[in-house]
Amino acid sequence: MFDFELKDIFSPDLVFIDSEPKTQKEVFAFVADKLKEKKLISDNQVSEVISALNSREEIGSTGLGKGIAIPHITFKNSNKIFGFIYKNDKSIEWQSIDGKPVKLIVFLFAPEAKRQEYLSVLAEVARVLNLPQVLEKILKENDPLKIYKLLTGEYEPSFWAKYSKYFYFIFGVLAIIILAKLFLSYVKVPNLEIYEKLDYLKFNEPVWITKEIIATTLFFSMVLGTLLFFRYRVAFGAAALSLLLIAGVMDIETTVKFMSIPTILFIVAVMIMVKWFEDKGVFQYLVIKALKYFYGSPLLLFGALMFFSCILAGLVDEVSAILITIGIAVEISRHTKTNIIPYLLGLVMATNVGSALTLIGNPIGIYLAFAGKLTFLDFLKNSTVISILTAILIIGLIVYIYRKQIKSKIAIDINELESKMEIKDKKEISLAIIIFIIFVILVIMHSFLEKALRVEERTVLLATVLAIVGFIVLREEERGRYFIEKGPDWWTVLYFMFLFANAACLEYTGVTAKVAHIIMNAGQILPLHFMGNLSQSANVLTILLWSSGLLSGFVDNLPVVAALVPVVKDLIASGLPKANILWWSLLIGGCFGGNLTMIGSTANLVAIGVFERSYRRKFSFKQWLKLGIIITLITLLFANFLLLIKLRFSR
Amino acid sequence: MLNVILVVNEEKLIKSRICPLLNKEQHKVVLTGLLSQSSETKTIEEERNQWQNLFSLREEFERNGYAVSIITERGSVFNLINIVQTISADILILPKEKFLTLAQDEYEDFLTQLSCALMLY
Repeated sequence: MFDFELKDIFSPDLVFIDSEPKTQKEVFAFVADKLKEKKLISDNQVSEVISALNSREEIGSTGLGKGIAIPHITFKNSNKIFGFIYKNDKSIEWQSIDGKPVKLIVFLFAPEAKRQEYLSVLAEVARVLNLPQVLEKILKENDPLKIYKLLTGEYEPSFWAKYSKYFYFIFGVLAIIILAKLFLSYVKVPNLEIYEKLDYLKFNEPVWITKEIIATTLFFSMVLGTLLFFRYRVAFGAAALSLLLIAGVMDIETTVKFMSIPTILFIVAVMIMVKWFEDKGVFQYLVIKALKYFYGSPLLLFGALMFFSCILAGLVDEVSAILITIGIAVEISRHTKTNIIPYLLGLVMATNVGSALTLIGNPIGIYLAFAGKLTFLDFLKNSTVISILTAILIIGLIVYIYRKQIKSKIAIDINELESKMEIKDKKEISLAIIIFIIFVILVIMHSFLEKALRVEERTVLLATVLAIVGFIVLREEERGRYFIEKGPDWWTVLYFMFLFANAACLEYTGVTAKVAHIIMNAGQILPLHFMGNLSQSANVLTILLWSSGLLSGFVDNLPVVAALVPVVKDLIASGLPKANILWWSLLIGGCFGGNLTMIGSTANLVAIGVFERSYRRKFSFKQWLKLGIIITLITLLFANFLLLIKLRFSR
Repeated sequence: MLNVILVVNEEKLIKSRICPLLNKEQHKVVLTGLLSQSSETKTIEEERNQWQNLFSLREEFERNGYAVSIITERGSVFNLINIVQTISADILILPKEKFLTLAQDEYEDFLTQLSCALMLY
């Protein structure tokens, strides 16, 4: 067994960072020259090395994919194995099997007599370069010494780089405690009749202030922990909840009540149902059929696909909608040899806007429906119109922005597309479409049926989805378990339960009553004369729309909305005129704000995941922001305008 | 030329079962090792052996006049679907042990998504 270490093979002197664009042959000449300069080869050997490297590539490319290549040769008159690292930020065409140009080239040179040893070194270099954490760092690094250390395993990240996230978390929690103490001790619920009736004056007592500080600290620490350590979000939710219980801020009964079990049950049932519809290929079938009317013009097809994604998001949910339409977009872009990026950005942004169309488009819609006692018809009357108008506006804008990139000389054969998308059993699709229509009718009619049956609000809503889940399990027999297990994202469902309970604790302890009071006062600062006596409501609406929108761009929209729901409840209870409109500002802010950054909504992450898997390319944060900022500002401004009109002229 | 993706597992089996089926005039071979997702679950030594195996097989194929490339992928066999699509592969040759790592409900998904012929060894 050949015993070696990579530090014996490489040297920091033999690491070169180049910024000049070069061809493969030029790189070989450059490397041979450097080897001669370093006296590793003689003048006579320069041409021998270049020729051997070229011959090696002729046998087969040494590119391993992912932007790396390991050219390796043996030659005479050498007595040791040595390596040479060449990095160039300008990509070099290398005929790699994945079709990608290379940026990092690690050369290996060995004497002919040491063939077996050199194979071991080659294997070790390939192993190290294929460790994602190493390759990523080397590709970003421009310091030859650090690249050498990364490859040879001697690189030690600085203490700060290693533990910065933990420090951010600790400092963040300390800052939250200080701010919570200052804010909640300073702000008092005013001694007004309405607050006395609501029993809010107790929140000024020291015992409640302590509870408020604990609840606020734990809620925001959970949000901070989720942001910094997303994989462990359930752990942060659970820890925050257990500390609330141990500190005596809430009892078990209240905690379970605040978990909003009906909301959770509805989300779970919808997830199972959607998984079944997806499995049957219903949505794919419907979208492909609908696209047949638009395939003549690439721009029209692009616009139509965005529109369907928007509608589908409202009818099912944003994640399912984007999964279906992005799959079709990938096929269209491959077939027409056009760039996928406009499709990806356009579809996700239309989907996020569409997720505010109805009650079921987004988990925040479901949460708001149960928390604010809103019906499906309330959504149709309020958010649907705003979402549709906003979607039309941004679809037009995105088509205009990307008009040159979308046009293609290759015609789209929709029949070929249909065959590629593999439409499944048509009988099963018909059955699933019937179930889907029944679901839509019952969900639309739920408030009427509840009145007619004299049952509690949202009973029919919940009963409908539960009945459909029952039907799915019975019909699918053995496979029923598959839909129950794979349909809901159980990890997320558990996180939602903890999040709802933590957020509701802010209401229980009176934190949101104080925030609502501050927002009420802020609403009086800028008098809006054109709004008449609704000036304060208009300002509060605008504050909530923009704060939920901008925060949702950086934090998941559900924690933002969950924290603001009790604030809206308190604002309504405080007697703010026409305060019910605030539910819609929360919903629209939460959904539209998801377009701001690539982490703003689950649909964004899902679409990027599909893109990265299909194209083996990374999507950059900046690339998203360029369009995200424009679209978010335009959609929030437009929605703000429409909401103000609605506030001013509605009865 | 048909593009053949050969997922390397045991060198002996490849020599005895796969090589007789390949023809250097008709097949372009892409060798790949499907490494574990995390280096913790597989020892460094095992990974190193796997790489060495890949490179020595390549040398052998090349000596026999085959056009060979190496590409690597980590994780589940589902990740091979991307490679199949990227290089428009015609045949995927997979060790049966790798195929059997799929859960019962994943077989159908894998076969549906795979856009080329599949051969197990």
